[in-house]
Amino acid sequence: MLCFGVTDRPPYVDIYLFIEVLALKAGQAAHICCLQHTEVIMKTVVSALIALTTLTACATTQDTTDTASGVSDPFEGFNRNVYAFNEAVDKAAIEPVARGYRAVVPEPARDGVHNVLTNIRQPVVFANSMLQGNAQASADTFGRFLINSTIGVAGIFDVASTLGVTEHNEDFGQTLGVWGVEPGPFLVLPLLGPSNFRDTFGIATDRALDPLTWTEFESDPDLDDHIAVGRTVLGLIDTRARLIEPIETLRSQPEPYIALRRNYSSQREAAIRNGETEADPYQDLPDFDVYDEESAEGTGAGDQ
Amino acid sequence: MKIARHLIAAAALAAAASPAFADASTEAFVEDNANEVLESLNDPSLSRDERTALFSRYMDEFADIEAVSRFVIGKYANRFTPEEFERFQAAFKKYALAVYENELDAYRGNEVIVEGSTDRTPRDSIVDTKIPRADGQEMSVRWRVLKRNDGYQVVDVALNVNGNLIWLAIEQQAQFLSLLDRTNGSVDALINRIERMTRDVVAGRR
Repeated sequence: MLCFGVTDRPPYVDIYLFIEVLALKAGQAAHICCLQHTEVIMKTVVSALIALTTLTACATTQDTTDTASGVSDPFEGFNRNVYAFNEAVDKAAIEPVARGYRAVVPEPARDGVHNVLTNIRQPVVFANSMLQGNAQASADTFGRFLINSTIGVAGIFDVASTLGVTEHNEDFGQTLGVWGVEPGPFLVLPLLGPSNFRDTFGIATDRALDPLTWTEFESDPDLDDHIAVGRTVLGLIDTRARLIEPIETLRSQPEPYIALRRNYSSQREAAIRNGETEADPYQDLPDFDVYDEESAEGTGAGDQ
Repeated sequence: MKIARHLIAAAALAAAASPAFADASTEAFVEDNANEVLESLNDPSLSRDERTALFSRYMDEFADIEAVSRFVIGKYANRFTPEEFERFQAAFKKYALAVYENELDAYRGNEVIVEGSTDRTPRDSIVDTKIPRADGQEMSVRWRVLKRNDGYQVVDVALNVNGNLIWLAIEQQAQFLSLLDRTNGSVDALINRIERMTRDVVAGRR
C-alpha cells in the first residue's frame, strides 16, 4: 500500500516506492478510465489514436526498443510532449486539488471514498477474472462485492478485507496479456498517463464491460450522468492524492520519462502474472565487468 | 570399482557446475555484511557525520562501487576521457553512498534474513533476503554478489515490488544513458544532474 508519510519516505529507492506507484497507477489507469465519462474517454482515446496514426508516418527508423525491458517506443517524441503536457496540467490544477483534499478531508473519509470507488469497479474486475479463467479471483471478487455493498454500506467500509477475502485488480489490458496479446508501442495518453496499445484498447473495453455505463434510472434520467461525473471527479482526486509521494519520487529521477516508461511496462507484466516473479528472472541480467574491455558496448538496458 | 569412482567424480563435477547449486558462502557474506551496515546506521553513540563516515567505509568493502560506476554509464565508460571519467566517478560515488545511506536507513535496527540464493555462475550469485522495515512493512531484497579475487562484492540490489524485480543499477543505467544520449554525451550535464540529486538526497536526511 502507498501509505508513506512524506517524512518517512525512503529517499531514493524511492525508485521502489515510485514503482509501487506505478503499480498503483497502472492498476488505476483503467480505474480512472472507468471513472471517466464515456464521451470524454472516447474522445481522448480517439484523439490520441488519430495523433498516433499521423505520427506513424514520421516515426524514425532508429531502434526504438529498450531491449532490457522490451519496451517499444517509436512515438517517443510525441510521448514526451504529452508527458510534458500532463505534467503542466497536473502541477497547475490536479496536484494542488489533491494536496488540498488530503489536507482538508480526514483519512477515514478519504478511505471511505476510495472504498466506494473500488467497490463500484468490482463488476469489471469480476468480468476480467472470468475472462482470464481465474475461478478463485472471480469468486473472491464476487464475494467482496456482495459483502462490501451490503454489510459495508454501499462499499464505504471494506469489510471483505477484514474478513480475509483477497482483493484482486484485473482489467481488460491484463486479460489481453493473459491471452497472449503483446503490449505494442508505449503510449502516454493525455491526462491518463502511461499506457500502450494493448492497455489503451483495454481501457475502452473495460468501460463497455461496466454495468454503470449502460444503466438508466427511470425515476431520474439524469442520475446516471451525475454518477458518472461524480465518479470521474472523485476518482481523479482520490487517485492523485494517493500518488503524491510516488510522483514526487518519479520527478526526482535522472530521467523521469524513461523511469516511467520502463517501470510502467514491467509493472504491467508483473500484474499480468498476478504478482508472481518471472519464471527465470536472472536469465538476462547484464555483465558488470564488460566495460573494462576496450571493445565493450552497452548491455542494452538503456539503448533507445 | 573403477566405474563407481568415475561415476562419483562425474556426479560431483555436475553438482559443482550446476547453476542451481547454492553457494552458502555468498549467503553468509550478505547476511554478515548487510547486518553490519544496518548496525552502523543504528549506533546512537555516533554523530551524523561519524555515521556517514562509518557507513561509507563499510559500503566501500561491501559493494564494488567502482564496477557500478562503470556499469551505469555503459558505452560511455569507454568514450569519456580519463579526466572526465574520474570527475563523473567522484560525483557518482558521493551520490550512490548518499542514496544507499538514506535507503538503508529505513531498515536500521532490523535484521536481514537470508532466504536462499541462486548461483548464475560460480562467480555470480543472487542472494534473496527479507528485511522488516522500521514502519512495519517487510521488503524483499535481492543482492547480486560477484566473486572477486579476495572475496565477494555486491554490484546490484533488486527490490521485489509485487512480482516486479527492480534492479537499481540497471534502472540507473537506462536513465543515465538516455540523459547522455540526449545531451550528446556531455559529462558535465550528467555530473550536474547527479550533484543536484545528491544535494536533494542529503537535504532530506534525518
